[in-house]
Amino acid sequence: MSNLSSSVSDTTSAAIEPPLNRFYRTVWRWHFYAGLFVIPFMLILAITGSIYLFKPQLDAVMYRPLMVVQPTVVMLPYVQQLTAVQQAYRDALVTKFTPNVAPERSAEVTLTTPDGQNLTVFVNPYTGQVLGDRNEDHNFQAQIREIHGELLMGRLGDTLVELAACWGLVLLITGLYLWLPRRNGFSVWGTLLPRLGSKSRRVFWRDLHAVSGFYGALLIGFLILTGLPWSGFWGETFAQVWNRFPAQMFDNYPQSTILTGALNQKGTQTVPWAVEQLPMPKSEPGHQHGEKAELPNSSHAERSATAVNLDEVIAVAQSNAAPAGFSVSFPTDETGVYTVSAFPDDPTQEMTLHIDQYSSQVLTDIRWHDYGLVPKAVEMGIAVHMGKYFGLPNQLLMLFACLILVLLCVSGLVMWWRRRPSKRLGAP
Amino acid sequence: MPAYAQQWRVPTAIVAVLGIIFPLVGVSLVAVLLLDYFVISRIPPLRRILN
Repeated sequence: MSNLSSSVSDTTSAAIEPPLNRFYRTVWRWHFYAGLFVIPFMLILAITGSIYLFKPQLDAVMYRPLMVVQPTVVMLPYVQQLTAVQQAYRDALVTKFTPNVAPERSAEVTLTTPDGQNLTVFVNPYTGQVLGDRNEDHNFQAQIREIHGELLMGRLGDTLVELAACWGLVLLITGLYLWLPRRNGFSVWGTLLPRLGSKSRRVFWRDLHAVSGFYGALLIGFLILTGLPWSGFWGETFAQVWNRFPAQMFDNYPQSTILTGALNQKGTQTVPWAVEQLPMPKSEPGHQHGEKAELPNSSHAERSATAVNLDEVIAVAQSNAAPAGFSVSFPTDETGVYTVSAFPDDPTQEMTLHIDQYSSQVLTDIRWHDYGLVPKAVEMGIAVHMGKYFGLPNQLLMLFACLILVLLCVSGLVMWWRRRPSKRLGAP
Repeated sequence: MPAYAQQWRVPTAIVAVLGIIFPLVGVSLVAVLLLDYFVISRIPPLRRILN
């Protein structure tokens, strides 16, 4: 198409326009209107995204007194750490236990209080001292994540973000078309290098938009594509299509209708995306464990004392080479299972174990090599999207993408504002 | 077939593919086109603003 572009006349007012010019103008108009719609969303996504990117560092600063402890030689059994928390939060329902990741870190217990608050309670694994709690629905990063994912509007916000993200892709494609050098052949200026010194403000803003858009297109396209699997409509469908695990994997165990993804509550991620569609197996009360556990082992007072306790579950996890940072989700009823899941920075280390709460038998064990090609790509994409995969350079690269996105939004707006018909709003 | 029809083929195909891969794009695209055809192009003041 670009070989024809040299014949395109400069006057657009001519009654008979060359078809390509008409087409160019159509693309331009779609780019313009889609841009107006997408800009507010993209600004929000870029700003919240660049904050959430640095969650590890920010958490370490904000919650230092809760997260860091003075290590001693002997660590308390996990069951005792849990009991300490349960005594401090009577009547709360414990949903998850995360053993301390490193010697100087505290253990984390996630629980729901009788009045419905979701708290993470931090406990010193050496002394059993409860260090404090953090509300999982109302802390800074949870709010940021919720704005990023659904604009604090639930399902509607989720759809709006998804719509804006999809249209963001359309903008990238139409933008690249508009960027293609037209007329007078190719020039580095205005395509690969911005004419920032130009006396024309219009050229200045146009170049700022087009040139940075060209460089940012790949990164932003990547962010959109890797973010979409989380979305409610497209992502949900995508997950159902690609996250099928071979049925014989679960032949031996009864399955419940609950999916593993139910463990991922709003704002906090417990299990990897790739296993969200995996049905939870059921524990079988008949298969009792040999030895009797002495200590109260979970939040459910009615649970029989013959059930497996937390120490045993963690021993099973460790014998299955669970990477540091794994969490143990508790069964929610008599047929529920313990779920050991790890969602480390390196997605190839991800694992999800469902463990029978009576026999401590591992019912399902899903790891990286069990994922199909598409879930692997998605998990890898998510790790890079979240700036986890290759450390600080990864975070900075994604921050750079966010900055380009903000620059595109702002320069796009400025261009429209400067060129709008005088004294009224409208398309230039 | 007029010459410009040729020019429309590839872009239309791209739009169609996008609309199918991302149904939200497809649905909103059709919605905008319908709105354009049935409402905006028939109400002159609106038409002037959005030209």
